[in-house]
Amino acid sequence: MELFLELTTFAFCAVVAAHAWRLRGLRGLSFLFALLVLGFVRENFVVLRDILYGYGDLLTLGAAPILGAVIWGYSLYVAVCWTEVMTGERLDDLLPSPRFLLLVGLFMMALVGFYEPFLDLVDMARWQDGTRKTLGMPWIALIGYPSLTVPFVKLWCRLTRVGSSLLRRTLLSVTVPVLAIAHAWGLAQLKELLSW
Amino acid sequence: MPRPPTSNPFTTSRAFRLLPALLLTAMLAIAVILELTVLEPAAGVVELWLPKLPLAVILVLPWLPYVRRHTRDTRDRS
Repeated sequence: MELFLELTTFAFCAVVAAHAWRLRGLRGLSFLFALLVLGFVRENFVVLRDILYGYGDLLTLGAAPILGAVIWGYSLYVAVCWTEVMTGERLDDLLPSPRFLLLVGLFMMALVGFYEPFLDLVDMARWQDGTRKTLGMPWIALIGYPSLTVPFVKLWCRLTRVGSSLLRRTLLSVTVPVLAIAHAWGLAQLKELLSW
Repeated sequence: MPRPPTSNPFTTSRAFRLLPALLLTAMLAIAVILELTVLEPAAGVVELWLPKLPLAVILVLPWLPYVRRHTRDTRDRS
């Protein structure tokens, strides 16, 4: 079952990569790649520091399951595409409006209701004991999903407007992993603070 | 940055932009089918379906203009 779900997710992510290329060209692939790096760094940090949650027996890359990295990238990309259609804005436009950021955050919150109960059911993700949940949805995840997405979108939109290509790539190479780690650490701290 | 040539109008259409959301809809459908057939969750109907409802509504919303247009076209033809 786990392998089927992992391979299905990887296949969907491959389709999304083709979509990103077709729709946005090299910038689209770069965007998706940055998202995958974000997910990879974050999930490895979560596993290595043993915070927030653990995983079942899945295909790994580094310390964390590949699925963890892929699902973040795939989900954020879907959220952005959906929000672009709903708002008429494009990620290549001027900096995203508050409405864009709100909708992309709400989309990610809605994903919690799908992902978390299902991953728990198939034992692919295991939140720490005592994690507060309602209808299978960890309360902290309702903050966690959008709170990674919105800063990333803002960061991406700002940095891709940096004129120098080398400077842009350097800044992204540094800030994306920092964001990933800061988010995971910050969310773990918040979870402890709130006893969620 | 250069984009691949797209002479096909579909690839710049709203429907093409929604392709990733369609994939997510398929993923949701797969999960629901698995829950109803193979997985046998202990959760009741409310616990199983209610959390998915916001996402289901969100995924349907962008398609409403197509539904309205189709309904209008059908009504105009008749």
